[in-house]
Amino acid sequence: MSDFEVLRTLSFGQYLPTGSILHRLDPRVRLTGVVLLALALMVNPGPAVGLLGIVLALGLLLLARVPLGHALRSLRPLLPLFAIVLALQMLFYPHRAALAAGSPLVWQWGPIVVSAASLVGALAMMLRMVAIVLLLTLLTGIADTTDLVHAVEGMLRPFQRLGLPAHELALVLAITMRFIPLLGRELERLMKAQAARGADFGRGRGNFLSRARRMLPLLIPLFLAALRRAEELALAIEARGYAGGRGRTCLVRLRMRPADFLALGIALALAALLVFLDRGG
Amino acid sequence: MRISVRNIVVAGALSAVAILLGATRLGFIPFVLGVSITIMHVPVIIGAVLEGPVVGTIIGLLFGLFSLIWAHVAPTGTGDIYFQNPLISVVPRLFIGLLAYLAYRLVKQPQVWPSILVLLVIIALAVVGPVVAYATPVLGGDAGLQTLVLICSLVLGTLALAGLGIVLWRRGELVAVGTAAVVGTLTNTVLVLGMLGLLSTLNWVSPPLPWEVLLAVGLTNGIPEIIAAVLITVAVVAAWKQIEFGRRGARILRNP
Amino acid sequence: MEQALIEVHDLHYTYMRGTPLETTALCGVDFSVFAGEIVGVIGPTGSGKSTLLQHLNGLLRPQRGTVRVFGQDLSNPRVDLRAIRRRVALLFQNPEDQLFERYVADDVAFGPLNLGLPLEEVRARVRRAMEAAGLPPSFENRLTWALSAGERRRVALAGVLALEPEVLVLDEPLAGLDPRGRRELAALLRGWQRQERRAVVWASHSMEEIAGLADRVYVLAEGRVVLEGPTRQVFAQGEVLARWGLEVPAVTQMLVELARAGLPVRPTALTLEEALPLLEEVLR
Repeated sequence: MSDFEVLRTLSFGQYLPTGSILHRLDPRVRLTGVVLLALALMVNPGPAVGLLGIVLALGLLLLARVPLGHALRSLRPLLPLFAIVLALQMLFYPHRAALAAGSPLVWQWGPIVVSAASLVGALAMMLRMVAIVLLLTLLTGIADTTDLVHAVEGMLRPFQRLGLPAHELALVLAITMRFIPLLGRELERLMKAQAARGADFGRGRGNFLSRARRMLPLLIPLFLAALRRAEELALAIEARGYAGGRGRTCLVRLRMRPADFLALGIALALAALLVFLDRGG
Repeated sequence: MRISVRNIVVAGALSAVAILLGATRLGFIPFVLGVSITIMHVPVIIGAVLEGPVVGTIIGLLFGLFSLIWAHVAPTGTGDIYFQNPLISVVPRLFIGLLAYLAYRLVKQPQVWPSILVLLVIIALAVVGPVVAYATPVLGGDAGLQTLVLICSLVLGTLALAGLGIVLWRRGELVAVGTAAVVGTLTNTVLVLGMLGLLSTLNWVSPPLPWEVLLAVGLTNGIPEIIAAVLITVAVVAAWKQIEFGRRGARILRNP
Repeated sequence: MEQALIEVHDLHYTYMRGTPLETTALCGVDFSVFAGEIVGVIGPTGSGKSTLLQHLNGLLRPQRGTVRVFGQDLSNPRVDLRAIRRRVALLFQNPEDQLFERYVADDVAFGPLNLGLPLEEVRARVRRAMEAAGLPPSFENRLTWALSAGERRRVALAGVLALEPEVLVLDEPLAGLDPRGRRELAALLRGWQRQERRAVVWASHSMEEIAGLADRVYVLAEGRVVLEGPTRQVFAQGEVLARWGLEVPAVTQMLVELARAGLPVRPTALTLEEALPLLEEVLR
């Protein structure tokens, strides 16, 4: 196993072209729908919401024909955090206020009290996190990077009249996504090349400043590579006559069909449900 | 708003760097006792310095969004629970580019007096602040908040004094870049922690963090972060713009 | 029987194992390097050359099979990799991208400094390495960023030569250079090898490049060694090579065509220099 596999961490979020109904929706609806649901989950702190969110997410994943194993695997990095959430809640929750408000005492050891409210709070957070990660897995499963860029551009386009450079911003997003694997490979090569010269990167000995300096052999070439490629790309784009998004013909025209409006409506309704459901907690 | 092709591409490339730094351990420099300093905001500063405030803000936005998503998808520590809130992960990052750019332009002004003016204002605030906090009934009683104001004023005052010294001594391109790095990092630290404090007081985050904790984190993380950011930003910009600085000639050949 | 400096046996390697993006780069490669020889590794892009090379100094650990370098088994997690990298130095493709120091001498010194050598020794190595890489002493204080790509490549080469390795591993060292640059760099490398009598592993997709250089050659395709042996022997197997998209040097091909046309010429020459006397013989 290599120490240098940088891109491994980024293999989260595989696009799975299963051709389900969700895949056939307008990319803007796919993006907005998922984001709305995720936002709704973030806004409502209640515990029941998390559970409902998970049910919804699983249902949507099923609809999208995303294999369950794949979705569940994306939850693995969350597990260590659950322990931390639990610990934090138990330590820092305003237990006494909760007990005074009627929440049952769960555990008492000397001066430390733990109210049921804090545990409920922890559970709510964990369920919410699971739901959001499942939604994100859903989104990356039903939309690849091109879809996402089209979606963003499509949604920003109405604001172009107000001076917002929608196309330019979408292009930035597209370039970012393109450059991540590109620079990631470059980074891997740099790490190996410098390691071959005996470098170690800020791990281990020395004070903080020397550790920071030891990262320069990686950081400087990385930034320079990024800027250099940016320059080359800029020349290439301009050489092909790009002059901004105004008046530019679009190859892909996004058009909302009745199914898209229906899906959006359902998403809005579900989001509203999530926001207003059982706000206790 | 005119965004040139160059702006677009640099914004994209540096955002990719920020995301890579965040996704690999490269973005974290181990400090002390397992705590790490982050340099993921450095591409924002570099983008602002090289291409302007718009590019800086765009990179900040993408960095913030990535921060938000990553806190959900691959949380690594307690901090990530807070970064799952876009008010903490995204909103503060929008200002890094702008403020870094303003600092850069300020120092690069042909005349010295605008920089001196700004720094004197900051020093004045740093003096007046604690006086107001302790002497008047404005924040009267709340010892915690008083100490907060005192410490913040001390830090800001010292930085401003140091800045004054530097600005009076030499004001080249790289001093401007260094200042941008300081301001950019401060913006990141202050706004993120400030937002955490604000949301804690409003009880919108759970568990809420007391001002003392935030201050401690701000000082212990913030100062080294500024140093690291200046080091890297200046090194990268000097390399990109091919600016020589310091003593000429290879270090290895110099006689000790 | 002479002991091999490097011995690779049944090496397998898959990138990104366990993810949907996994790719197998090597499936069962045997490879060895002996003292003082130049070993060529030829193969089309994607054949696994770089993967193999990165095993030779421990950048990659074998997933299956063994890699023994100077008698040490690199699968053993306790092997001191830095000591290995002191003796086996790898120059990557497009190495000019890895420069990070402002001044040439500092970048060349990076390697020796990492080895923990005393200052005077580092300076001596920097000077020797720069000379071997064709960089006059005036380059010591030049800004790395102000150099041309070819000059930067030589700085990178000097940086690796300064490690004074026993085995120099080169991954497509001439890639991206113009013909003159290629000739000059190849001459420098050959000069270094001849003078220091070290082993060199040279990976390339161009047979022409390796023709006049290597003593032995491995031909890699799709992660396997498909041909192996002394250069002449391997290059004589035109049909096998063609199957993998590899072409023998133009000179050899010309001789083959001439032989096929009926001329009594033996197609054993690999370079122009070797071909000339053969042709002279025929034309007489």
